[in-house]
Amino acid sequence: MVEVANIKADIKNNQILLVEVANAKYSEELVTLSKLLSSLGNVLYVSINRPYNSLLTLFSQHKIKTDKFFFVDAVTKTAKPSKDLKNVKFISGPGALTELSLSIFASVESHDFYSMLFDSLSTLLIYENSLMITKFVHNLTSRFRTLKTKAILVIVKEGIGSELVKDLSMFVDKIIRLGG
Amino acid sequence: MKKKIMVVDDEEDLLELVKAIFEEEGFEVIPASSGAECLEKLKEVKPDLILMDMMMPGMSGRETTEKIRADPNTKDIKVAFLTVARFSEVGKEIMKELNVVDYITKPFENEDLVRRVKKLVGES
Repeated sequence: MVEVANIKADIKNNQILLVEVANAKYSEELVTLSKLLSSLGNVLYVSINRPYNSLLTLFSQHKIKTDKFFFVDAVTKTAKPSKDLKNVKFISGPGALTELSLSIFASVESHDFYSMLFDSLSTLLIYENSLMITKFVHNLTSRFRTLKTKAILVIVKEGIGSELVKDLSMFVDKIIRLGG
Repeated sequence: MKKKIMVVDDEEDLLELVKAIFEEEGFEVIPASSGAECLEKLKEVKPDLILMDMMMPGMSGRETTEKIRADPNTKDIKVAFLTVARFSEVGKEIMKELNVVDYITKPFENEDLVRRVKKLVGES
């Protein structure tokens, strides 16, 4: 089991991290990562996995303040976000990779983020093939290096093939395996 | 005897371009449009160098190279990546483990590509 202090050090010392999470501990580890990242600075939380409202509930249950978060939500599929929601951008769907990339880059350029948490590449694999995901991650990591913002890309251990993980590892600085 | 290079890329235009460049330089060029086709052709020919794209549908360049290294008949063939990708230090370590001799980024200058390939096959 990787200790929280070690993860913190890895995040501080590296720019792009691939974090492998066991399915059984998925929510638990996402909460840990969210707490950790928000303790270091502002976080762009990109959700392909669960809707904004569900994330707010999860954060509230674990006493994570959302004032350090901005969300890009590819799940809710709301074209017209409420005016009251200032910390979220909805996009049309998880398969809209160009829109997703543009939203991520626009958000990073218009805010002062310490990091981006991408939840998750495994879910993206439902909508796109391995090659598209590799290209997407390459594009994303290249841009984040230029922007000097940290990127934490989450994958579910059981939900992604080992060949894709090896291909993605060509672009990241470190792979962290959580949850045994 | 002509030096042989195999070019592996899913982009037909690039295959044709690289083929034309190296045929003019006196090389024999074997094109392959996928990792699977590359492995199949390696049963018949042994090139002096393989120029391998990293991002291809199906088997990636990394996976194809891994299979080349695992086969006693092909394990010693020189492989260079010809790719748009910019690799991290982890990626460079992986290339070292796969004994990838060089990586040339796309887009490339024709003269630079020729110069590097000639050096890799001992023709410079």
